[in-house]
Amino acid sequence: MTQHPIHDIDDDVHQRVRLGILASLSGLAKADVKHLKTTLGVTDGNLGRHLQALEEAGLVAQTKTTGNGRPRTWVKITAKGRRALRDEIRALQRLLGDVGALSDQPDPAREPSLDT
Amino acid sequence: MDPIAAELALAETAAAKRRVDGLVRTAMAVPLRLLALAWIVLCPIALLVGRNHLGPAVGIALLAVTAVSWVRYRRVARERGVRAHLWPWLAVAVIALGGGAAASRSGTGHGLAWLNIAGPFVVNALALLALAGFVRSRAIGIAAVTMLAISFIIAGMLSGDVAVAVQLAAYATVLMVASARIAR
Repeated sequence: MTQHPIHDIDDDVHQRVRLGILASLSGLAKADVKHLKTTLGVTDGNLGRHLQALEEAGLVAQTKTTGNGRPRTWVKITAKGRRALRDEIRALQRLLGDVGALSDQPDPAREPSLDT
Repeated sequence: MDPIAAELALAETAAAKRRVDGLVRTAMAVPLRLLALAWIVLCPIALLVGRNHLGPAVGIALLAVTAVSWVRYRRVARERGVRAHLWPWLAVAVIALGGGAAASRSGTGHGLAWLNIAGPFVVNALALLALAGFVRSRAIGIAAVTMLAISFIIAGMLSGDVAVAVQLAAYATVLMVASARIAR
């Protein structure tokens, strides 16, 4: 018996903002926090909390630089983060596939009754 | 888990991925435009030094394109807070240089004029075709296929250094058009 796709969902990744962060970083060398904030439409505090959780899970890495006297925080996705994003997308697709297969089956409760 | 929430999460992730893919494609316009300029500069050099002595000039041109692209990527990162990878371009440059030199030499060695004249260009076009697949860019893909067709036509019609110079000019034009399309 195959495991239900719900078990493939990673709690560190499975959250709207975290998925957005990983997807936004996936094809890039790095992006700064300001760019992520604008792209995802979240507050500094909210983004900071999710970035910290992702960093603790080893899915992203943050570096701080000071260019032109301005401090800047850069974020990049790690190899583990890239794998986690790919696995999460697959798990969600499998889950939706299972739901689709279920909805294609006739519902016995809705079958027209032949009883008179 | 709620299937609607799962569907929404997938749709949002796909939208974020599409935005990033767009940024990566736009970033690729920088080295392609510079490569077009390099090929234009190499046109008269090919006629002056001859096609079999063009290797060092091509190497310097690709190195210059890479260096300027790197500086430009850094500046874009400072201004917009996003930095794209330069390694897809580096892969194209290495394949174009190494594969091109090998094709040209084996064409001379085996007495195959076609391979000597069009081989390096075909390698360059194939590397760009692979790049198009990697960054999912139709504009780069169309440019690469056009380049392949150009090389086959020119190698069948012209010969010698003129054939190489005409290919360089044609490739530069195609690359200019492609980079303008992806930068839009």
